[in-house]
Amino acid sequence: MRIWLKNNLGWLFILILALAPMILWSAMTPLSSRFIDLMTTLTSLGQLTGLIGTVLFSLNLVLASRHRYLEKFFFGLNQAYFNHHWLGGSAFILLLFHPLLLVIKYIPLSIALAAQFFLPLPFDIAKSTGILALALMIVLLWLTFYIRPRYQLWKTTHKFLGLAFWLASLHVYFIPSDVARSLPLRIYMLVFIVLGFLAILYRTVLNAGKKKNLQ
Amino acid sequence: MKKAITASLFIFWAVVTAILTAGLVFYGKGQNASPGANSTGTQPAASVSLGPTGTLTLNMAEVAKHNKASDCWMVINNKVYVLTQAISTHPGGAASIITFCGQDGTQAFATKDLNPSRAHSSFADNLLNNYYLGDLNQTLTGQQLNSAQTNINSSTSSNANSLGENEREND
Repeated sequence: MRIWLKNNLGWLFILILALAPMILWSAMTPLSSRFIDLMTTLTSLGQLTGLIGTVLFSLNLVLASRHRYLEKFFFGLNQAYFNHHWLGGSAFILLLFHPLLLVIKYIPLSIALAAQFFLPLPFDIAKSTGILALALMIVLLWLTFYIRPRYQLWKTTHKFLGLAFWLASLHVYFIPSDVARSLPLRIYMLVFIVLGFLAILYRTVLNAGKKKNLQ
Repeated sequence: MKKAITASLFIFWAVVTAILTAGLVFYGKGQNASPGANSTGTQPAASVSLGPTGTLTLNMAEVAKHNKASDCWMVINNKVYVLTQAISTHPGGAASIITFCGQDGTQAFATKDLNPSRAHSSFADNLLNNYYLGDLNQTLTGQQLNSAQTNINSSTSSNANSLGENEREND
């Protein structure tokens, strides 16, 4: 048990951090009203996939920072990259299902309204940033998983996931949602947004500085 | 992982393409984009089943049952409102009301559910009274309920158009 715990401490840590917003979210309103019927249940699941997906996205950026401590935590660089691959994939899947689960509520009301849900509108910045973030993620991860360009080119394109994270952060923070309504949830998400940006900063600016010094 | 991502992407694009295509096809072909309205312009304010004593208590459990755009109750400042008809005329869009159907929307109403928050106009505050059903945890008899429903129907049908115009002016 102790060995298993030691071997999987990294994943357990990620799991706890990813599921914590679910607890904050469920503490906001009685769960009975969150899952009262099929439509409400799907909307609730849509909210959860968004929250957990964003936390995993941020944690994945932290993992990609290649900090020495993290490599030790995940038993070496190779293992850390393997986990980065899985974590990124999981975050991507959750974020893909986030709008799909939320749009279902609009279908019985009006298919035109449901179609509008997927269109970025200039006057609705909060929603549009979310759509653009997901679109950018789709393109960049499509390159990663299916096209597999030359390493240097792929590395450059992969850096743009930082832009996707920035757009996603704007979406999380400005969209009228449970994050806007609950202060603990807002603080929790803000911590991960800041963590994600610090990781990007560390990886791009500080690491680039280090490389220059080495040269 | 690649298989899971492929399957997810397939589902994603299938749903998005289907909805966008259907949206494009039905756009402007009588498809009602205003979910609160029906063909007659008025709507039953509430669809409720009274208890064995012929009364209805307006508690959160009862409010939670009315969580659809076609039957939308909301608690605002410990008062229960039937906002089904307001959905179609709400200047902030249908979604901002639908999200809170069957829930306590006090904070959302006070802040327009925006961050940073913005208050509704005094006109909207007054207009809200037209949708008033009763106080939270108040017990209504069948007669009181019918009377409240009739009031909501008559006052909202005459005010439906002015909501959008005045709210836009105040914004």
